[in-house]
Amino acid sequence: MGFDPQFFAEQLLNSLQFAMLLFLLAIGLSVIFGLMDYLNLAHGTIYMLAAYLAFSLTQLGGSFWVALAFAPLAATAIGMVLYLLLLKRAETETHLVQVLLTVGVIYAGTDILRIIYGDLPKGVNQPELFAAPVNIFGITYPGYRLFIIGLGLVTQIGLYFALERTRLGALVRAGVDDRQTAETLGVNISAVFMLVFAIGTYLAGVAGVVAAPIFGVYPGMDATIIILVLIVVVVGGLGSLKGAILGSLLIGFADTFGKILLPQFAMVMIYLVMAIVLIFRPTGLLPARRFTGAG
Amino acid sequence: MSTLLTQTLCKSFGSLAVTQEVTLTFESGKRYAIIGPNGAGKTTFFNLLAGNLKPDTGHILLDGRDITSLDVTSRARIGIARSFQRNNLFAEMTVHDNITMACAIQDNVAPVFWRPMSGFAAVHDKAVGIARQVGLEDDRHTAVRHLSYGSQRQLEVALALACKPKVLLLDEPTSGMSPQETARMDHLIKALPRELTVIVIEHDMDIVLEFADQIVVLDYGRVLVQGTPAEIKNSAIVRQRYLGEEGVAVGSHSAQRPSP
Amino acid sequence: MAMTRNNLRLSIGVAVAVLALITQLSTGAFAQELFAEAAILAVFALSLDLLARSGLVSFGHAGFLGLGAYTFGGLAVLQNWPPSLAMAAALAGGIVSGLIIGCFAVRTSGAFFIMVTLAVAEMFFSWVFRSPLFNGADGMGGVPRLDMRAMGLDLNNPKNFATFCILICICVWIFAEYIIVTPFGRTLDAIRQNANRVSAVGGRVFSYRLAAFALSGAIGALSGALKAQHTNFLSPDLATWVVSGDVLIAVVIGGMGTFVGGIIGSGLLVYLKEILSSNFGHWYLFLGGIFIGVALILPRGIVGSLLDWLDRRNARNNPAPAREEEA
Repeated sequence: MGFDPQFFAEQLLNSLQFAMLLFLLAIGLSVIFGLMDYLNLAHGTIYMLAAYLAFSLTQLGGSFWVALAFAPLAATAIGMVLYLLLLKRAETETHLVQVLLTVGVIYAGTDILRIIYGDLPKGVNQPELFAAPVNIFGITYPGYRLFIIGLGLVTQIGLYFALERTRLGALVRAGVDDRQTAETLGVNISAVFMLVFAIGTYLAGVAGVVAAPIFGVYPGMDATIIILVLIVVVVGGLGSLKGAILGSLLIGFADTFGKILLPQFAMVMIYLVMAIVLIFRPTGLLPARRFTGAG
Repeated sequence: MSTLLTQTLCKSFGSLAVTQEVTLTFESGKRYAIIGPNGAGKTTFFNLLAGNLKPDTGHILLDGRDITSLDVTSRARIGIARSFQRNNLFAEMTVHDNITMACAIQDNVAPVFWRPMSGFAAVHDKAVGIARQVGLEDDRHTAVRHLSYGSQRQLEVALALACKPKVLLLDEPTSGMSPQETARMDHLIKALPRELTVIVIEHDMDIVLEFADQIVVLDYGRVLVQGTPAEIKNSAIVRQRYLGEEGVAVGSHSAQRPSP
Repeated sequence: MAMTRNNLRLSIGVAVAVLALITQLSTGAFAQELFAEAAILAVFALSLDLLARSGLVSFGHAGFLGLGAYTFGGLAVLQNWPPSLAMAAALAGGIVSGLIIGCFAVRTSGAFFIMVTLAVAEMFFSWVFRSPLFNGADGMGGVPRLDMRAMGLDLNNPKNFATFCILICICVWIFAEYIIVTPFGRTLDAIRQNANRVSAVGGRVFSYRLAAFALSGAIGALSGALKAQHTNFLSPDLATWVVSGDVLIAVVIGGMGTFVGGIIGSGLLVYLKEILSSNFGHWYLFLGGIFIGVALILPRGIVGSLLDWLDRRNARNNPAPAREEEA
């Protein structure tokens, strides 16, 4: 197989598009982990929930845009109820108790969606606005995938300004950096965390809606992606925006090119990237703070 | 004879130089106190001596052997032991088990997986001896979390002593203690065996002046002055900088406890 | 003399062992399959819990289970090794792979260790999933059981096999309990409580954790070899993260670091899955609900909570001499 620049460019864009999707999920998980030391595996369940809600909304005659506007909001509302009722109560527990609790939420949530929607995969149509392929760099590429890349970039820029230029962003950074000091300085970390949790959950919901037209909507769609997202978070380093961006790009590329270069061992590439990163940087590439010792 | 030397030791965190060209000799069996205001780089210097940090440049020698590249564990094994400024213990164990653990590691008993710990009478006896030495013999079966803060500080020293040290580094052994507890700790460190080289970081000037053979004053990571307690008390630069004369910067130690 | 934590833990262990053996002998063939399954999961849980004593929690333990199963099955089926020799090879494989993987894995800790172990296990899964040698995703049948007819025990009989698995589990449990009272085991405890202090008193944390990882790998591989014998089948599914998650949950439900807790958790998990899946269509809903309940009500696990209760009771009955708490 000779080198085909057109094919290569297409795969480059595919990687970028997948990276953006991973980023939308990873940033919430990473900041929740970094800020509150909370390992919320149910983050992926919100992603799946939003995808199902998007399916329902389009079934009821709404357009993709209606779904994109409302499904993440509804998923966020449910996520916040879940947080206040259940997840918050394990805030001071160990990661393992959080894992047990959130795996319980995943199991229960998946089965509830199964009861409502059945086991068969559902589809969501992509918006007509981006249905047509676009000519870019001399190749034709699906417009919808370009839309995802754009959405991811806009989110990253927006979050960058929100974190670096606003008071709330400063509070979040202070909290991730040194929670105790931030608290003694009078920062209401609980309130900051609620807001961060809501934003992270919302972005996971957005990811679910935009992923639906590409991957379909099915029970267990959360499990397939949450492992990749965890890897992104660990490779990038906890609690940092730049880390989440870099991590999602690395894993997005490793996934896409792994499938091309080693079709037999698609996942191996990703795990290899992670193992190499962690051997040389045991706390990830760009962690928000340096960790010391165990725990 | 164990002499610890540092040669032009330097350490920076980013642009902040916390240890600058520190060249010192700690002679065998003598007592040293390191003083200086908060942020003078005292604990950083300890971290360099104990191997928790690597110096950017410079060397550390023990008995003529360059130990700069050895890590914490290796230095603990050749006789450099330290206590910590904040209690750093095995929280779920009793006093006896804490000390036994340290003794077992030092005596190379720790890797044994074929015989129960209870069978190593020598290690247990040694731990009992150390508990007595630091005044914790009555608390041997108390869990660390039920121990008073002052006793936890004593245990902190006990763990360092369990390392069979040649050089003992004590980082603020009396910090946060009540006057009675301070007196107890004062008594403890004065009773340490004479063959041991002891270096303490201490803010309590009463203890320092009485205990130390030599006092090293650190200031912004540099050795400002070094000398006997009498020399330090009479040193113009120390009086000017730390004892508040001429209204210049007042060190935290002198703020807490004015010099005699 | 008040009941101590250790005595209570050991008593529960003995009670569970006796109860399991007696009940097992008097049940039908189907229940015996469940007993074997629970005992094998319990061996696997002990492997995870022993490693946890050193402060490391693995999310890739299925890698060891899969390795043990494939080493045993591969050698017994493809190379016609006698099962006893294949079993020894599986144990050796667990130790060797534990040492190799541990060399880089145990340098990390906390969530990072969780992810590294997950990564390695998933790599192993990807390999056997595609490997033509083991029939890839379809798996491979015909895995024999140990031949113990010389000792008058035919392991192809479900009752005998279940008893055999329970006995192995009891042996591993006694081994684990013994290890933690040796200096090595005490050092693992010390490392869990304060790894930095262990370094500061001259202990090589890396070496102890590496040894614990290799030991844990051997026991994990043992459970895998038993698993392959139980189902007579090798499947890549043995090495997925779901299996790692299951054993982790069994240990957390029972109480991490208590050993007997993981055994009880394994029994409960196997039992619950069976009961729920045979009575309800959407049984994961109930299983999830139970996980949530345990996490919120008994965050230290069943045995862990019991031990905490004992501590509180002992503290009430003979309060420690009150000394002033300062700073």
